[in-house]
Amino acid sequence: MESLQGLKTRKAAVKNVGTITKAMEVVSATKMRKSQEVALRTRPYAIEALRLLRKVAQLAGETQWTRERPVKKTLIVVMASDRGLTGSFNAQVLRAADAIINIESAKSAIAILAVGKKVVRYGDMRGLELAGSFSGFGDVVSFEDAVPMADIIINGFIGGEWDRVLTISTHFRTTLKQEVLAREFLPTNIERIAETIREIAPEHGRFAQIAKDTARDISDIPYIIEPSPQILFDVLVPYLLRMQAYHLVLEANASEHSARRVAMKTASDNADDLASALALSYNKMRQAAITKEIIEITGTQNALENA
Amino acid sequence: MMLRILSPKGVEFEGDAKSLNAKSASGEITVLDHHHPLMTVLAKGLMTTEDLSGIKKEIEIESGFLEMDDQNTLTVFIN
Repeated sequence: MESLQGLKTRKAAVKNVGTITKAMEVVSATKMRKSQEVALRTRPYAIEALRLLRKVAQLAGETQWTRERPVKKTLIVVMASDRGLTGSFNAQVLRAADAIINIESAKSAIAILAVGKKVVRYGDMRGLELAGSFSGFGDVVSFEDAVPMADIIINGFIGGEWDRVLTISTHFRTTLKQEVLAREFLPTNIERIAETIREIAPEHGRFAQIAKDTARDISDIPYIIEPSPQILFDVLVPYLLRMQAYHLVLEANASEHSARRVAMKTASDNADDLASALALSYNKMRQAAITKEIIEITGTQNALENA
Repeated sequence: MMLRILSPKGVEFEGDAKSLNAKSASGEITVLDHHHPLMTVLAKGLMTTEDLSGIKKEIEIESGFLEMDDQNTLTVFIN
């Protein structure tokens, strides 16, 4: 049986942990609200931009962005967080990454682009080639912050460093539900874009309709393209790809903070339960000790009186 | 026509409009109702929209894209 003193220390320790997780819960609740807001606000833009990208891809026919070429090397962009204590958030992303890397490494050489320190550590552990790493994306990033990351992906693809780009990141559905999605980022094509739109669009509401509309064939619409199709595509496609990369980061952030908030809420609740259970057994033990002492005192007194 | 102005920060404008004027890469364009389907790159400058009651609004843009489809819907991407 545990000593009274030991129980007291344990109770204090649990209470301390509870205070810390409670504080983290409050912090991540604020971050969660902010990152969810940004992610959701950007969605209409992302969906419309993807729709435009799809139209442009359809009008342009085969370009350097859509051409499938023999795959010598695949770049896998993995997005997780910088810090732990996010419940199963990082584990889910890395488990998905693990499965995909196992499949892909059989087909071609592989490099990873790590977003988040956890991914860097994972890459080191598995001895994977690191094409680049980014950290500090966890707090709300502006579009400009995501550009260097997007440019590594895009320039490497155009420069022939890699012939295929996959992304593994978390898509934010609700505070309690986030899903890890693997997407083919490059080369892009009409079906892939349509699929991405379907994944981003919510199941209900106005944007659900937009997702359904994407099936439409637009090749018969006589678009005027200014200044020239070539210039438009060369400006538009990299921009829209950057936008897509930015949007992935925002979704991952909203997911990370939601996952952390939920994890910390559970931890605080558990700490509360544990602390009250410990307080109860501590009090019981204290009572028992007091009763025992009283019995001893009265026992001794009786013995003295009888003597 | 139905006009939507979108930026990475969110939906800037959504609703019916009479006209939109902006600087494009090859000059200046004004899009009115039932304009021919068009896609163009916008240049840095002032974009002016006019709603149905004739109230004009100006938006400063750094760069952007414009798409008019065959359904009389104009979508403008700015950033």
